[in-house]
Amino acid sequence: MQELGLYNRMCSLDILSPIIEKQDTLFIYGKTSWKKKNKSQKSRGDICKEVLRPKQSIQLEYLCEGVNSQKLIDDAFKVWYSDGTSYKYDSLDDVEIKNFLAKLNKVYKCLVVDITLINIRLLGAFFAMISEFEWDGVYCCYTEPGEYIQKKEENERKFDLKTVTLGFDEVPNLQTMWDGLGECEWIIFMGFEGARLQLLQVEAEPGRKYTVPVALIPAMHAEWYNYVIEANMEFMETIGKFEEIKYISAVNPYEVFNFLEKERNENKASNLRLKISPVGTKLTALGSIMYVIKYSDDMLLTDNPIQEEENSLSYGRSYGYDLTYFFKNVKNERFQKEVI
Amino acid sequence: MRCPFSDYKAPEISEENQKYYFVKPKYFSKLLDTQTSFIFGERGSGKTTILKYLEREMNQFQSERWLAFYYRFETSSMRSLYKERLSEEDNFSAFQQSLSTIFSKLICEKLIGMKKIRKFEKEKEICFSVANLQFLVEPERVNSFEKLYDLMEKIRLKTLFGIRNAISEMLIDYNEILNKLICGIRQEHGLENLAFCVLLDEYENLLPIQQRVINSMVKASSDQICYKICLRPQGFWTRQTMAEHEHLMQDEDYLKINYVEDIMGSDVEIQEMVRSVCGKRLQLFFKSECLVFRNEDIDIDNYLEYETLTEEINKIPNLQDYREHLTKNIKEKAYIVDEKKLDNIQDIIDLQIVAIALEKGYEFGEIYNSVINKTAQYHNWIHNYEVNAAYIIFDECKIKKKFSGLNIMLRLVNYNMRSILLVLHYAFEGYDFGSSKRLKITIDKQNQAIEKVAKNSFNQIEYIPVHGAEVKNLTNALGNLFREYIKDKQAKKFETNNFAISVSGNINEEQQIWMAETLKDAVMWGILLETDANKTKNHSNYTYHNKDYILHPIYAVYFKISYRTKQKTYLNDDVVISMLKPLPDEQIRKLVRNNNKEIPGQMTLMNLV
Repeated sequence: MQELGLYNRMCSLDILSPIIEKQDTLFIYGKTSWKKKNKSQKSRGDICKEVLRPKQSIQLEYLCEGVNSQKLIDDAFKVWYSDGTSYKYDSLDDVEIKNFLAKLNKVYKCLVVDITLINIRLLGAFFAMISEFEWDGVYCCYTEPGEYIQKKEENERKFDLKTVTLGFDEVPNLQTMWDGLGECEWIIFMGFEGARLQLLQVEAEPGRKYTVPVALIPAMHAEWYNYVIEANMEFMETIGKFEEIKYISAVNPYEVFNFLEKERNENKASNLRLKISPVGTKLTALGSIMYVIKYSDDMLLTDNPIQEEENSLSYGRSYGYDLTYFFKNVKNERFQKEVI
Repeated sequence: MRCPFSDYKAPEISEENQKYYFVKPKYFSKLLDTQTSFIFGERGSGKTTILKYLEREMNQFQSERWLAFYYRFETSSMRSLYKERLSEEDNFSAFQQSLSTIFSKLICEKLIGMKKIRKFEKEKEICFSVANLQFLVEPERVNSFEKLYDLMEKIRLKTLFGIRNAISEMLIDYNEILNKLICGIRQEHGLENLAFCVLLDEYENLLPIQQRVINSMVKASSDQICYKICLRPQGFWTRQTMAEHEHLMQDEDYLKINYVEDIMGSDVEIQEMVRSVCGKRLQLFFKSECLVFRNEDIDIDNYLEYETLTEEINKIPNLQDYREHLTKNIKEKAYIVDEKKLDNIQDIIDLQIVAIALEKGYEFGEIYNSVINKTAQYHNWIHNYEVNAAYIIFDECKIKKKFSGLNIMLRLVNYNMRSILLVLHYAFEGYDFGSSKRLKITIDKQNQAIEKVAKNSFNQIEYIPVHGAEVKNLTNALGNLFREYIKDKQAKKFETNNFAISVSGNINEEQQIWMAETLKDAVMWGILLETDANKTKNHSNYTYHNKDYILHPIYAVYFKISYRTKQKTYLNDDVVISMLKPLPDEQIRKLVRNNNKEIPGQMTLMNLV
């Protein structure tokens, strides 16, 4: 498969302003249950909308009921319209997402998606089906956190990210085509929750030949880089790879995509697959999602975290990303072709 | 310099080293038969290692008799083989078909390997019989195992496409592939009696509906095709097969094997095995680092400093001060006139036992007589309260209990191979093997290593999928509850780290399910160990499922309680429910008060803190 080699299409939010003013542009952003509770507190999920002031917008709310009788994550999503009405889709599978996108595509030809508060499962399932339809433009934006809430433990500076994990189900519509046989390289984009990696490590074990830890820089605060290393110290000790840490931008999904594509090509001769765990920022998750959309025989390995409450006290910068070129040139193979 | 215990996870170890490091468990031969078995063991106990060894052993040394292949059920990819939009029957087919192609590929891989040492006269016929299925064009083109492997991959991808797009028609044609392949291989001269051994790992990662497919395969197993399936405790979601009213029956359909007890053996046998593993690792390390070594240099015990409980207590710096304080209080409480009487009790543990017995309401004369003359009653007290007494002394002297020595470490990690290697990895961090002096790893260093493993284990709990938060709250509450017991100067409960759940009638069905699911997860992830109830207390209520639960011994280090399993406590189900949410310390203390029975006429020592 030919390399894509994405160019850096990061921009500031004001570049998106003329796009957002068009009649056929829809702004989509995340809605959470905890946001509803703290109405007075400004959430960083609202910042892009405040700056861009879109004429047309909807909210996506990720809904999760735990696990069903088959031990699978039981999730769905709701669309909230600006008139206050809502519509619930019963799952994140390809049919429901396509139905949703089809309705949007009838009216809008350009999407601007604020991914700040959109859960990774919904994000992945949604973007997995985008290229089933024709769009003039697909853009993303994101607002970084300013300061995280800290845990109330003495002598330990730990961030309380309010995360629970749901298990290791693959993200809907992004399931790997690989059968798990043979060897793989596990790439981890490290975050603040090192203990999550200890459990993910067990899941990553089958066939794992190499482990590639990746630290994200620049961190939103300079000292956060040290904290990432500290938070993942036990994990790093177990894999003994201190001198092999790689570095990548915390805010550039294109760089993540290109990095993964390069790893894939370097491993082509030895037939190593990639397992990718984006535990760090939402933007590395986006880059990883883009990668597995294109390369369906590699795997996105996530423990499906859910943020249960607000975890940041303030917000930082906002960024915009033009993903149009990507979605015009990449199809999700999982739903495209028959092999025999 | 590297450490001989750094590579303790199977994927990190080269295949060559894996073979070298491996020490056959004492009762390994129990697995070398045609009996289908489910092998239970916690994560890190060595199940994967033993299955892979079994695969090598069967294929290498018994290749005319066995063809074995290993497959691990990866959670994420197995879950993706289920589609909610498909009917139950179609989901059965989808999974069965996927497995058939994967297993066929694995068999083809083995056959391709076998071709290097034996000729297959019927290779073309074998491949044709499999390829000659409906919808396949020109099956005669599939005339080698290599091409058959490629065909299996194509069918697998077709099946995946059918699942993703919920196309039922693509999920029904290839379920017989595996049987056809196996029958075909047996046509080959010399392989007529070849038995197939399917080694499956992480059965608990399957969905219930997928376990039913495997259960059906197990039900149909025979001398010709048997299964060895590894899973964690509580790893069965269902024993039902694909047939509506058919279930797997233990002993009739499969043998239940507890990996540690039945294959690794007794505590002593496991200790011996671990010493052997450590010796091999040390030996390979010295050789690879080109270091000269003697026999004693590959004996792990020579590196580990160790002290008994008595030695540990006698080293407490302010022990004499504490002794004086304790003596003073005993005298006051027991109204002792002869001040020198207690000086006759030399051992501080014995003195603490005196204090505990006084709290329990025994008369001083009786206590003194028992301790001085080492009567049966004294031995009974020592048996029950020695460790409690030790913990009280440590607490009062503001000293942490330390753990050292290989045998203790093994008890703390519950004889888990991965964990013991991790502890040793931390203990040996920075150790200079190049020095001619073989310095011992100090008790402090060993203890730090164990504490690190304990802390890491605790920190991971909250990330257990779905019920992580509840399991953590429960663990925290239990740990603190048992800590209150061990601190208790009356030692109303001795060395309690286990419990059974009594039915109170105060919880509804939803809460019962919540509790059951949380407990199941806690057992599956090795936070709690589950055993059949060993003693039924004279209790008016009955207990859930006749099970006892033990807090994993590694948390004894974290919560500073005893790791030995002695006196059980009973917790009402409504109390357990309350423990699934965060509990403040005062509520824990209230639980202790509610759980303890009052002893008439007891005296209480002054609070010495």
